[in-house]
Amino acid sequence: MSARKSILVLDDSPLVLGIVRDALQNEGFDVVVASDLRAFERHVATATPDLILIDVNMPEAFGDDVGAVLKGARKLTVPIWLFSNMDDKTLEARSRDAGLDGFISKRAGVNVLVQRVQGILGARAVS
Amino acid sequence: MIESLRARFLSRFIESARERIDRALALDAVGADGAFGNIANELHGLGGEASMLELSEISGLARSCEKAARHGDRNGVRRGLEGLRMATEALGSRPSSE
Repeated sequence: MSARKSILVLDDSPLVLGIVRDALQNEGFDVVVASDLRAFERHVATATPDLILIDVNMPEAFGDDVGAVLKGARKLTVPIWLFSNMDDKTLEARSRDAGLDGFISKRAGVNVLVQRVQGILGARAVS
Repeated sequence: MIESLRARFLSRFIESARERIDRALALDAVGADGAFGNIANELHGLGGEASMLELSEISGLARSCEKAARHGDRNGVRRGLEGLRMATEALGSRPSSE
């Protein structure tokens, strides 16, 4: 049986999604990506990931609002972290105000992203 | 890891950066209501993509230019976009690392 942890990522940049998927898959995580809200909602409705990462500044919606709906109206208990190029102070406030579990700044780079995800889910969750 | 990611994604990054800069320049040229907000969003996206590949020069330029756009500083935006264009083209003219 597989022990791989799964991560759902919502970001409007296909390039960011490609980089994140490659980096996290390389560390043994299953990664599902969505570049728009409709695709994201389909994934949320059909599977329960171990972690959700949501960009903040997207054309259709703010990621903290999306996360707040998932935590509030949808009663999702999965950890939801903001993942954005905003500064840490802004991200911390937006994450806290939306009732989310934390934030990861894109400014820290992809290596830090991987380390933070490993910290949240446990390092290298391969079967 | 960052070197292998850059090797895989650098050409896509350059393509995306050029498109974002061109859209920002076009928005600036038209000067319509809301242009600065849309320019700032393009720069925010560009900065995020640069950050993920740890291209610190470009991500820093994008953040400065985004700030200028959010403050409605047209000269700052134009200087920033020119800097970004030059930095992006310089990136395309050398091998896969910054």
